[in-house]
Amino acid sequence: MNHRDDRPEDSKPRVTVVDEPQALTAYLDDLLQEIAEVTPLPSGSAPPPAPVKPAPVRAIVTPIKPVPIAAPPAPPAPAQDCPPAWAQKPFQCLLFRLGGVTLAIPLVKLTGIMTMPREITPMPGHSSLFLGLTEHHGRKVKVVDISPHVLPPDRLANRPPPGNLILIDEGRWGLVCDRVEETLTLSPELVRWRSPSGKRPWLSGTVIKHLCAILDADYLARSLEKGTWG
Amino acid sequence: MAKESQAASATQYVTFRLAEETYAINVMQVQEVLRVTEIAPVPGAPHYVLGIINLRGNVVTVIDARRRMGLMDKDSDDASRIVIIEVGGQVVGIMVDSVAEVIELAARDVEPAPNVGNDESSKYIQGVASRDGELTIVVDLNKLLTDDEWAEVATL
Repeated sequence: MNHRDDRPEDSKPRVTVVDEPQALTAYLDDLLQEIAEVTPLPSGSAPPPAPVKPAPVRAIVTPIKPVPIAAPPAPPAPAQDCPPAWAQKPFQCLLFRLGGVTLAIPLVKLTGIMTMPREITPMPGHSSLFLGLTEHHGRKVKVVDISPHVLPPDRLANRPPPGNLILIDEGRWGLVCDRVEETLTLSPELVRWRSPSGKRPWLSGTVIKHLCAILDADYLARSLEKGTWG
Repeated sequence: MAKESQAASATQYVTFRLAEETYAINVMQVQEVLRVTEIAPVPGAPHYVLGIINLRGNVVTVIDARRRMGLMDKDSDDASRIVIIEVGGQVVGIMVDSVAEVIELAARDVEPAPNVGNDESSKYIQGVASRDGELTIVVDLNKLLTDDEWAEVATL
């Protein structure tokens, strides 16, 4: 991913991000920073500016009267959304790999897992992310590959062949993935939750400790159904 | 081609193959199935129009089903067929990879087509039916072309 380095000289000793975990951390961090530090920039493709510290400045500039220091005018930038209802207490996630990136889906939103079917019936005239239909227990599963919208571009080229489908929304949708990994119990505090104004509504949050991004299964299913995704 | 004695709820469809997939169209709209004959190209015709044929003295426009559905082109071969259909009083032919059989599908067997970022030109997919572990795509011939396109084809 492009990452402009606007930081002051003394704070950029680690410019070379070659290491896999480091690259992933940067990616995940980038996913959320773009959202969390919502500064009203003209468009938004540019990465976030250097860490600013505006709050104290304002506080000093208003030396008005003996008014209590109580009100730092607006809530500062890290306005993150609170955890969704299913994450008010520790919750379990299934981790899976997509293009080498680890993604997670909360178990409460997971319908099932199936091995990548050999038979997928493509539907002409649809978005390229829709690979087609397959049958699972007498039900037609719509198979989608969300990687072009989720992965950084450099991850798309050398993807391993898909190994599994992650079923969501009562099995209506199957998300292609490289492979399924493990389940993980997370406490809500470990997750950096996406802010509501974020540009990536498919993202619930990221877990830097485990280098994974949690998908918003409800949003995915809703927007795929409406045909507005991708 | 239509048979009278049928269960009221079931509809008969002619199935054909395109790019390894099976499609079904209402048998009532199928007039006949032809082997591929000489098709005269029409200059300036839309890209999905292969040309015209002479069908017992009548000029019939032939549409390439692959092109219409955004599939890869394929040269015609022994199995290729031109299915003559009638839509809204207009007779056209559609070129398909092969014609398979006539099947019966009840309305409840046809699930509505998914809507995943599909464009206007794919509204011809009426639904999907499951048969023998395989999915069959049911095509609404009335929507194979838009009204404007039907009008354009009529004037070729």
